[in-house]
Amino acid sequence: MGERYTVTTRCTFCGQCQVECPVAAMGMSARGAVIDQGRCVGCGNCYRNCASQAIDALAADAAEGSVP
Amino acid sequence: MIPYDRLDTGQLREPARLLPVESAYDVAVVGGGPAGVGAAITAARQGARTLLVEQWSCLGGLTTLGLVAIPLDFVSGVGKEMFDALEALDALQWRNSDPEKHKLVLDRMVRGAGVEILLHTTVCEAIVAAGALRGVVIENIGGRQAILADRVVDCSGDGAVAAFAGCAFARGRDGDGMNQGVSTEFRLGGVNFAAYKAWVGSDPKWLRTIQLALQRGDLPYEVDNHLNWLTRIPGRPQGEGMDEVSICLAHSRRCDTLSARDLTRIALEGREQVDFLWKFIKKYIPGFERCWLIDTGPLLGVRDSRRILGDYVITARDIAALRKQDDVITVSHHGYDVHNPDGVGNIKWAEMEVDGETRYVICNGGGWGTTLMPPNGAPLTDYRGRGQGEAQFDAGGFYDIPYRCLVPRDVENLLVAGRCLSADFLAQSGCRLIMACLDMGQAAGTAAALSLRQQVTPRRLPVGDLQRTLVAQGMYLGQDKHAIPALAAMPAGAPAAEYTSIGQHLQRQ
Repeated sequence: MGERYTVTTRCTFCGQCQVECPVAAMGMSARGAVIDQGRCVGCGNCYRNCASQAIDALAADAAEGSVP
Repeated sequence: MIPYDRLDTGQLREPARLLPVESAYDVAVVGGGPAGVGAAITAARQGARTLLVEQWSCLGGLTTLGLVAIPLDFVSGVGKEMFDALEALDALQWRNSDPEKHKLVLDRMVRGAGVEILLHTTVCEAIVAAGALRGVVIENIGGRQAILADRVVDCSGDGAVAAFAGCAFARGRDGDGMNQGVSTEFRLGGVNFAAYKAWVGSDPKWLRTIQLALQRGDLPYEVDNHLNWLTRIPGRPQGEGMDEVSICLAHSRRCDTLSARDLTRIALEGREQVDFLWKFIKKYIPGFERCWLIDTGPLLGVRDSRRILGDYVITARDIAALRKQDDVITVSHHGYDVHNPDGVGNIKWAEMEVDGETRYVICNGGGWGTTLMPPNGAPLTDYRGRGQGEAQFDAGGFYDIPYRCLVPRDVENLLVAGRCLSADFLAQSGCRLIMACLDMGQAAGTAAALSLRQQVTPRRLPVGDLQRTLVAQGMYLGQDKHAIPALAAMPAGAPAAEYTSIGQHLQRQ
């Protein structure tokens, strides 16, 4: 699988990542988009389609516990 | 030359005069923004002799002249081709586009489809006979002339052709008719984006920083209470402090987008706002210490003006309920997104009665991003009344835009596409994004050409024929998520679009 991804505070709630996610791993909370790391397959569609560059790619171990 | 012939009413009399016919086409598309580009390309590919009329010197509308480097919503058909072409020119990264290179991409795509382009030309009248559009009157450097067309697609954004043709329309929000806040987008260069990223987590939407600058007198008044958008333009050197960003922060309020006087006020006010905003950003926002102002978008960020009354009006309730429609021609996932008409902030919810109770409904999870909250601390819920933590928004859920929203009720042979579709104020605030407009354009252009080939009015075009053609062109109608009656009978390997001229086709008959 690919990299791990995490949503940062730059999220503007546009919802584009939810549309692009092939495995329905993107949720939305009052703090912005949320990645369900249990479902995420690391394809990077959310990362590539974020207009605000609000999603960061991390090494797999660094992503643990960093999801807002 | 007209004589000075002033009536007692104070008006001048313009005598009847002969109008030269500049040209005649199968399809005339008015407006070269995303909707017009989609409409012109698809009409031409269906074999129609097509003209695209644009009042500025380039295509793209808000994506180019408005500096809106954020082509959001579903990408399909011509949209996919556009993304590929942008990428090939290093003009697409993440979900951002380069407004300058985008102009060239669209020139080549539109010309490549065989469309004739007429720039620097304004449409100033509709030619109507027996309740049907027959063409438009234009004004340009050559004076006032007529362009005849068997079908007209109004992609002016303002529903200009439809209004000239006498179609009913709505404007602004219910009650006072005020339009959404209008933006003046601007670009800054010399940005250290990495430094900005490292800081912004401490004040994600600049809420605190804006308040601080107001207290210190570095902002004369509040143009918005938060940062709406900051997008990085692709194709610039990276990691060298030479990033370029496009920013949506300047806003004019209490706007009448159908008044040139008010548009003038907004343009002048926008440039004054950008002058103090960019200095504020340079002083307060880490990563911007060495930035400079590149430009302001020459095209104002108007989000709504006329909404042309069609055979159906898509409503706030439709989009909250993610309603699917048998005559779907494109889909959108974007919920309510109202830039406050008379003050700072954004409104991403709608008040409505559901199951006998008043609810403050959001459409998809993006509604959580609202900066203005419902009255009296009432909670936001989904359509079914489930609040935060319980609301289950179908990830990637979408609502349909029906073909009937593109067919004006009051005249034949005219279609509308883009932000002037038939919608109520709140529904329009959702389905007005760049790619939704381009997709509506694709549907309208295709419908214009198909209706000509079948020799029926667009209103009488069998919607299944349109939907099958759109799917064959690679458009996404949500067909994998819900049954579309006309597509159920679609044979595997649907026929490719025909590339013969309708003009020739009709001559042979």
